[in-house]
Amino acid sequence: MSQIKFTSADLVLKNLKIQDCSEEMKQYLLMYYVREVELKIAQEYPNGLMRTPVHLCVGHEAIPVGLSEHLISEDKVLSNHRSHGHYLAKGGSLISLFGELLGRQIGCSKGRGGSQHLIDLSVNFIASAPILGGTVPIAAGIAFSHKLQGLGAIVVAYLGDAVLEEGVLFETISFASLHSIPILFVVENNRLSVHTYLDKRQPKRRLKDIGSAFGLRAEEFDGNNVMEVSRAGESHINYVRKERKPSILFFETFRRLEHVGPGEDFNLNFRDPVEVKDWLLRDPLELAAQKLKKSESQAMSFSNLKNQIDSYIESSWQSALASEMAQQ
Amino acid sequence: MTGANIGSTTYVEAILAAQTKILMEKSNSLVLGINVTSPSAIFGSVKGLYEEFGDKRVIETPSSENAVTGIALGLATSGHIPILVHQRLDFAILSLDMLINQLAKWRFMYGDNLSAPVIVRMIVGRGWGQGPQHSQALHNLFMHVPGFRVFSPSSPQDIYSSLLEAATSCSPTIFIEHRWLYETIGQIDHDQVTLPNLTRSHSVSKNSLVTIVTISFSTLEVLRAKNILETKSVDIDVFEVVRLDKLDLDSILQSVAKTGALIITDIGHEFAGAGSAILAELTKRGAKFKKPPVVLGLPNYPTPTSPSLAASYYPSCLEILQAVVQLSSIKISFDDPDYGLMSDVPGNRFIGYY
Repeated sequence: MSQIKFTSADLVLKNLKIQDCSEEMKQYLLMYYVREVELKIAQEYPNGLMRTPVHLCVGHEAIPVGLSEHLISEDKVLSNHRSHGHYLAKGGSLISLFGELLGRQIGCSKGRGGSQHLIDLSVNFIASAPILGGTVPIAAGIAFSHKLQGLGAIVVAYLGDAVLEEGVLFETISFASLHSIPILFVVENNRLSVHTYLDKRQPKRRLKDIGSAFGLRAEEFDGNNVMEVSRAGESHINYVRKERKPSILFFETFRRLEHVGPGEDFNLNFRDPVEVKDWLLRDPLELAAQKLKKSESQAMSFSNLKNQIDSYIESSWQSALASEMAQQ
Repeated sequence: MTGANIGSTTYVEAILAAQTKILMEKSNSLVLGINVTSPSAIFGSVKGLYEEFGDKRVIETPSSENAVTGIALGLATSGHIPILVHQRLDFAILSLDMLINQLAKWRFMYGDNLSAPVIVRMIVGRGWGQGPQHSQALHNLFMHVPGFRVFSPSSPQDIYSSLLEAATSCSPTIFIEHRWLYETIGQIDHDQVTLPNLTRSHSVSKNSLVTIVTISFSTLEVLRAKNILETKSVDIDVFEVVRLDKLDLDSILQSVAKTGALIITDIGHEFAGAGSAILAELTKRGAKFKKPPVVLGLPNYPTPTSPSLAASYYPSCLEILQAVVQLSSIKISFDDPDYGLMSDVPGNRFIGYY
């Protein structure tokens, strides 16, 4: 974990009242928090109170959690349709997230945006939007303003692999490189665009070459290994922060649930069963759990901490549920 | 008008004066776009700004209209006031995703937590063979999308005032600037920093036989027709809708109640265009007509290039005069061939090539 400052990860842990754990335990618990929020949404979704399409990030948790250990409050994050993890890992208010999904006035966008339009300016989570690549140039514009205003903070733009098919990405990384803009593009490559695999959509090439061709620092990593994400994140975030140049990180990961909605999609038979089996063995929480010291994972305090997170989620849900519907 | 800050100026000088004032007074403002630092300076509308304010305030952009619009929105989100310039509206079409999906909705969809004070200037070309992709007037598209403020002033004063006003707004503003207005001359009061009227009354008389509503450059054609009609002792009322997303129709309704005869002239396509939208609003608000109203706009096909084809494409002063005759039943015929001119060049001084 970064030594220098109070990080976004520290903020989330503070909100969850978690302290005095090993780094591995903190990473695990942060991922557990993101996952349990998503599972809570999935569990409640069939009740019909959340009238907004939800793109749950189960399986992707290691990426925002690993990066949040190196982001500070002043750093800004923008995201896409699968944004809950990005929002939560930056410290976004859980009640405001639940409120937004439930169409309440306390929702982060006052019920106007739903799951696909999250915002929490108090933690510099600026915006998420579902049009592919939609927030990518906007993030670059914000990072450009940091350059023009001489601010030290950086901007992180999360995008999915299908954005590599959108012209706006290439326009943006070209501009970012030309003007030396302090922005980190994070590509979550789950190889799926709704139900279509990457090989039907893109030519075979090393993804990092896309970034290199535009003069960005570019690397690819395993997005399910939170330690690896954290190390890559530290290196790239420090690079963007110190060199004031853009970089792009590609993380391979796995979408555990259906594209949109609370369920799985394995019964649709479009997934490669071998690949699914392999990825399920490499679930980010399972991998992280294996790294925990036995003294930690078998201690009573471990289940207490998880219960503590569960209670935090439940009480946030109840508060959101008890609040008023959005007003005109 | 009196006072030290009043003077005669061209339309393009008014645009330049407004942007200079914004750049001088608001240190967070900037101008960006393709060719904003070029010697031709977008027909002179940004002339000298790069030299005066430097490359941190006047930013040349790559040919990436969509991303640059998003970047402008990002800059606005971080406290800047970007003025984004498109030498032709047709190129701005490349940015419709960012304009419509993001910019127009930015404030609304995040519960008014963000602001988007982006000013987008779009120039509409005409004549000298501008053809299908250098001449489109699609202001009706931006009127239709909630979230934009849309202005298409024809006078130097109104473009000056509305640009300055736009720099104080939290919402995005689109300016539709007709190229043929650039060299027109008018008086401006430099202290008038807000748009005085959303609809400008150019001419109102108690004896008027016809009410004419105009948009952008068509105002000039109508005022020319008005001068010709005056020589025949025929009066008309002329109202220019300057702001298109929020219509101020009160004065027009009063006039129609008097004349019962309405002509709307537009620079865009007649079908499903701004003229039709204005007519619908007037009708919904109870306007009554003695004869079916006339909407004069472009026909329902793309702009042709050859001057012989363009001649019948753009409604001329003559067609306006004929519509007045038709609606008012006055017995005058207009046979001066000059009345049908101006389809391909705004005047003899115009020698191309844009």
